[in-house]
Amino acid sequence: MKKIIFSIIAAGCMLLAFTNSAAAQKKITIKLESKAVDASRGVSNPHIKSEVPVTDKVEAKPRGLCSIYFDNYCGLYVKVYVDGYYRGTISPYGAMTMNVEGGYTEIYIISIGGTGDWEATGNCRGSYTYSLY
Amino acid sequence: MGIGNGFISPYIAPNKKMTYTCKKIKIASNTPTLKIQKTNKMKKTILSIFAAAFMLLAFSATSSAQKKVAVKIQSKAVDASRGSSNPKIKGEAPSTDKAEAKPRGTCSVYFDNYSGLYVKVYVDGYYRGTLSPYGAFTVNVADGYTEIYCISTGGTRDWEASGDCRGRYTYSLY
Repeated sequence: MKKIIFSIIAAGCMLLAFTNSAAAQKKITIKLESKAVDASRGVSNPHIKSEVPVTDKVEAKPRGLCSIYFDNYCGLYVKVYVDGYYRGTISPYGAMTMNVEGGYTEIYIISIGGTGDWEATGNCRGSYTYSLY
Repeated sequence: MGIGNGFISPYIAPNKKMTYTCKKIKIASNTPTLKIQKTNKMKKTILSIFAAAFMLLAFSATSSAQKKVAVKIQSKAVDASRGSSNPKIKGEAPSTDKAEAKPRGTCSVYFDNYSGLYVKVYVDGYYRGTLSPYGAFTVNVADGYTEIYCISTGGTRDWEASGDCRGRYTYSLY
């Protein structure tokens, strides 16, 4: 009986330990502080390759995707670009998860009014969470 | 009393009186009563561990089940003859930066976009963000809400639903 109890407890502990370590290996949290956008830069932004689509074109469900998480701790609406391509707009104090196929290297975020921006790098080797301040 | 031909039933819960009787029998008939007592104690321990675990699971499942409300919404084709004005939309995306104060006593509304389209989300008619295809997001609402309206960025498909802050709503857009 003692053996059974000990084996149940040991199995439970091992399960907990392995779950925690597996999750800890993947998660990467990055805190980003906003920078003021240079007003003299003009309309063109070298970080942006595509804007919000104005026509509906159904995208195929990505395979082998990785997810990127955003937590918006600032009071502004922010537009998110992954590798220069528009991927969504987050409300003040909101959060967003987006799925990326084929990896990514650069994150660019700009407030909807264009006064502040955030920049970061990342990749699909980790489960990145970008916190915007 | 569980005693017959020197045999003690292991299913009788031991108490002080029983233990005393068992000890008496042990002396008389050489029955391994101590082992029986130990087995009963072990059984009790195991049963109480399992009972506690099940109660914990049951209560945690009940409390989360009360809160979560999942709503699946199928898109409708937007009537092309409607024109540019949309009675469901009261406020569009802001074009200037005006920092909003952090809302107190908020409730969160979750969106899962299972469509391949970019979708603009409106809560009670006011713009709250744009979702990417197969993406998800959370909107925090300060003073409650009653209506959800979503429309694709191209304006060809829309989704409608009602909700409130009494439940933890997740809207899945198909």
